[in-house]
Amino acid sequence: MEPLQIPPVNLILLAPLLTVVGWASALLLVDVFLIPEGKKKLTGYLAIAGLLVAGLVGLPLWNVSGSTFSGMLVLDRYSLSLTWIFVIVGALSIAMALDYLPRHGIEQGEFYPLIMFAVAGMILLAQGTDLIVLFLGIEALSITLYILTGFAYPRLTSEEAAMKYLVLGAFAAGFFVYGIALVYGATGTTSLAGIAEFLGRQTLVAEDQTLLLAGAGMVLIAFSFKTALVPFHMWTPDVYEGSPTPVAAFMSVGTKGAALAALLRVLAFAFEGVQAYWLPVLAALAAITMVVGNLGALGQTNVKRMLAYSSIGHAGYILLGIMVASERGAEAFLFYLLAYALTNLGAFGVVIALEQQGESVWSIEDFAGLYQRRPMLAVAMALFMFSLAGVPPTAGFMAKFFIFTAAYEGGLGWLALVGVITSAIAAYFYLRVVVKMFMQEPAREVQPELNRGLNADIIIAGVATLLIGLVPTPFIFLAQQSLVALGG
Amino acid sequence: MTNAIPLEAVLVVAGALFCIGLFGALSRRNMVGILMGVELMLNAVNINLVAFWRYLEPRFITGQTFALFVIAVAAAEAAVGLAMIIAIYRSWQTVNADSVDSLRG
Amino acid sequence: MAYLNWLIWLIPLLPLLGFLLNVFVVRRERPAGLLASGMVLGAFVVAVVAVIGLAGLPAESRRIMSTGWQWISTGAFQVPFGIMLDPLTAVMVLLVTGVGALIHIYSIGYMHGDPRVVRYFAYLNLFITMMLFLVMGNNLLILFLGWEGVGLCSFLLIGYWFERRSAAEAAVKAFVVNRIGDAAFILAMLAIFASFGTLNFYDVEIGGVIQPGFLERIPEILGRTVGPSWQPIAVATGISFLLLIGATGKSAQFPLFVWLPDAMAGPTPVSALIHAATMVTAGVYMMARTESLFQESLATQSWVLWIGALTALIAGTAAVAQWDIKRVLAYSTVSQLGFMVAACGMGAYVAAIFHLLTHGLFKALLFLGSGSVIHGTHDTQDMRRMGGLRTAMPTTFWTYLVGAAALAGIVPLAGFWSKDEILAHALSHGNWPQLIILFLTSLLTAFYMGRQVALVFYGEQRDHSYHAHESGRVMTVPLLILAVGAALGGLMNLPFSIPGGHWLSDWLNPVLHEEPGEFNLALALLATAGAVGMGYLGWWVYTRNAARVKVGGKDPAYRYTGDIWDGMEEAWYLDAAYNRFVVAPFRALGGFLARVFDPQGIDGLVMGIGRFFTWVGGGVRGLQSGYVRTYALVFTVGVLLVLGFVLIFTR
Repeated sequence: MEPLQIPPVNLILLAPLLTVVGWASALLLVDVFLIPEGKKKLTGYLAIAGLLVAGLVGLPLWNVSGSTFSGMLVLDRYSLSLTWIFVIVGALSIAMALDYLPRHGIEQGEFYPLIMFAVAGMILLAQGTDLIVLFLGIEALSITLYILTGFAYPRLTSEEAAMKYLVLGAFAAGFFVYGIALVYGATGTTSLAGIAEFLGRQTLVAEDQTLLLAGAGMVLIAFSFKTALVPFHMWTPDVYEGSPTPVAAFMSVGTKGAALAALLRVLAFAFEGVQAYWLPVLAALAAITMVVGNLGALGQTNVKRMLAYSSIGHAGYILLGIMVASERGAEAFLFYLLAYALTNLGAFGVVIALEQQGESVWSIEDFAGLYQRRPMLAVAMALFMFSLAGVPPTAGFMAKFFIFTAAYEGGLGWLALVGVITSAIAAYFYLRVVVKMFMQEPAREVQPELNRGLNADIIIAGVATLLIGLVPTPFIFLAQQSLVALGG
Repeated sequence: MTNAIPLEAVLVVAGALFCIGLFGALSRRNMVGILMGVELMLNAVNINLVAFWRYLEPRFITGQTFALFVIAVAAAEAAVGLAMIIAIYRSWQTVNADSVDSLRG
Repeated sequence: MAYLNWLIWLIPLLPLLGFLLNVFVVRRERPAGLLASGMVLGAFVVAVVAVIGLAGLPAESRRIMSTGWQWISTGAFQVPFGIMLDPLTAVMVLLVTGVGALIHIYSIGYMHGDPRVVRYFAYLNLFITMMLFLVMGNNLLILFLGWEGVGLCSFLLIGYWFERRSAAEAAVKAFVVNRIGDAAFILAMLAIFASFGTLNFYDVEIGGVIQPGFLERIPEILGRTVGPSWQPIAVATGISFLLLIGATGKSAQFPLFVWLPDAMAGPTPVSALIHAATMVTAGVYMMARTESLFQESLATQSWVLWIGALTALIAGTAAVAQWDIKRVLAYSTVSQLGFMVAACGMGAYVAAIFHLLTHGLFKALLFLGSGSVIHGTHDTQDMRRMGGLRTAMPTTFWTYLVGAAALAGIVPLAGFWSKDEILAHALSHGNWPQLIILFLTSLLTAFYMGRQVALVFYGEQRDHSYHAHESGRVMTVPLLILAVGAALGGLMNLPFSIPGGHWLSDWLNPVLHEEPGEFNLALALLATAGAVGMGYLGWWVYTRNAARVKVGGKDPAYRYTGDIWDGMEEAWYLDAAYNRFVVAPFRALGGFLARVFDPQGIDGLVMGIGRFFTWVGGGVRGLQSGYVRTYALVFTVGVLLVLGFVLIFTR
């Protein structure tokens, strides 16, 4: 055997990732030794600062691109824009949690570093160009999320949710590694570029073809699990309902986004050569996901579960952008991700504001007559609901419109049709929240609790939802720029 | 050694092991049992990885490295999982997965 | 005329400002009403100034385009956030702001003392804003913004008195039915973008670059087809048909008109504004705007024609047999919209717009008059409990009479000229079946208006539980203004070759490219005689038989027609048919499965189609058993399906 070669490493390319990991590790110690009990909010602010610093560190790298660790990690504009989205998502989730945790008696300092570690996992997914790195990214993200899901420890549902998430997540991980192993067996490499090169270079013998396809299918399944595509979505409503609400908000946009971002890379680069095989599978998954997600949300009276099903449905829409595998599709994907992330974080923020101490119902009845008591909050929530439903001039409408046109042009007209019809149905359950807020008298006394973190979250999300809807051009421009020199 | 036992045989063993793990994870009610099933699945994959490395690409260490990663991740997962089962046992007084079903619908 | 470029932005932005102030600042009733009315009145004044400026331009350059910013800009996909003012938009803007302002002022009196009145004015202002974006947008996306916006405001306003269960249900029904049309509209937009690469109506020059408009590029798609080879569909037909479905939803055409009569659950000024004068005309406006696309598809045009004519007749018969004063007018609106749609189907777009304008005037008058009646009789809507109100409410009576005569098509009031133009077009194009249907409908129109006037204003008051009184000045003055409009509106487009005779045709000619229609004296005489005769007949039957009209009793005409009357009263059971064949089966299944799967109690608002989907959703949730092992099993099944597909079927 040849002696081990240590490949050259360019740490500059990993600056945002390393900032997040380093900051989080340091913060863990600082939290234990320096920050006294009862002042844990300080840890939260430090965590937000760390995430913002990581975002700033990324700024000068906009014109840099390159790969390191023998091509296992890459820095390009695509990964950088995703990093920014994830950093924002992380920071807003922490902002929501600042007062949520003490109010529900679960304030522990390690919450904030854990969110940072999860963000690091997401960045890893955005930068990874090797199946091994993607596996590590998914696991880094998942394992922290298992803990975060069970963070509301004495509450039974929280533990139950964590257990379900962990069991199913580990189950999915088994399929993921098995799939990677089979792909490795068929092509002799785990690097995305290597797989693409192998597929382009030679025609496969029958056995290897079988190995490769089975492997690719399992990798696809693992990503579908993280993205919550039907029928791998079963964990989603339970886990969202059980976990602390800021964590649910974080998961609903972060995990989904990171997994889809990685899936785009895997499909567009590694498995481009076998598109004929995965396209029908993904198309079918997208169609049933859109249908089941939106129908599942119809009967919900629990707002958190409703948002969980809605997030399943949205994953189906986002998938359309990935499937098209064109510039337009990838642009639409990034745009949708941003619009959806901000809208959904806003909606969860309002849910948190209405969440009463020590309760776990999140009934839609709590929204009744909100307009009378807190007109601003009600208008903001209405804005988020319209954006999720895709009513102009909100961000959600623009995003849907881009995705559907991309799908239509990419020859997936029937999926666009399914999308239009399901989003017409979806309007119904989003509208129900609006009906409650504007057209009903309060059913019981619910005192919305707003504070600095939540206010910041709702205002940022609300402004962004309107801004992206009214002036989408700069955001689209950014998305276009992000795809320049997108390499495997 | 690579001549004595064909690759296919190793793959079949690994596949069988994976299926046993899968069956275990699906059929056990005990949460510890479910986790053990999952561990078995992951270990089956390790056999696969090492076998592919040994038989197909012995020059590069990808397969070996990946197996190490999988072992590490599986350990982390098991640690979190067992801690969680203990926490659940404390408050629910059970390790039966089917009894933990308050979230549904 | 550079000032027009920024001036026209004031038209939609003033009501928007009113909306924002009423939501966030104003808390008391009086300033809210004054602010809202003032903003719309201001928009009207600005619109008048702008239209005068527009008229000062030579005919072929009467199209002001103003782009606020580039809304969407991604490579080939360019959509400006731009509005425009051209002759077609101009008349729509004047109608919306003019009638809108009167209705706002009227609302100050009508809604006085309502607990949530600030919100009411906020919604009303938002509605005007959205309607203005709808008619002023220079591309389909802005039109769609307004389209969804008015749907939303209509939903909020129908459900405004949400304490009444019927109001909340009617609101949801309106939204759900409209949603069907909206989905078709989105698909039409996708198809237009895919075919033309643009959503602009006309070429827009922005920063020296010309962005193409699809209405000027129709020839590019001629001869192109989509669909399977055994049944190819011309692209023009496909797109225009999708747009037609959109229009049937918004403009309450068969078979989607069922929401409009129920929408009368909202406050009466809302019915006047939204469900008579403006929102429901959006479909007609949209078809007139994309007229060159519709003209390329004979197939769609004949669908348009038949849908319009049938709607006119069905709704006309239904209007005859209603007891609720507002439901008569609601069905009458549907029927008149059918006239407009039928005119579009004949290619007589000027006649359609002409009728849209006159109808906007006299139907607003009638609705506000009925509101005055309802107000003066303390929320009585059943005509059987009215009677003899002409002495108690003289102003309302006289203005109502003008409106009714205009609707019935009595010469020389507004409705006569516009309806006659549609009939004349049907005659000159040789559309005989539709001509007969429309003619019969116009006879029915005269009859039911005669009936209504007799029932409400003549005879003796049949129910003495209330003391009828005339409404205040703030309500009667708008009635008087609208009555003048309803009387003189026909002057817009007289079918004679006198100076200013074809004013509307000439004005719209640059947009609709249509020569003025011919005047057919025989037809006009016949129609007038019919209208006068049937109107008198309706009045005579119900004044002679006034004694037989009993509260809760049957109609005097029931004796002669029997069950047919019941059919008419129920609008030929279309609603019942939906209930029976769409809603009930879903509800039954839903109820059954609800017991099986035990959902957490379904919201009372969930109706009909909603129930069905809820049922399917129940299936989804039934699988969501809470057992983690079930989830793992479903997961495994998914794995088997995916791998099975990849490995076996793609071999």
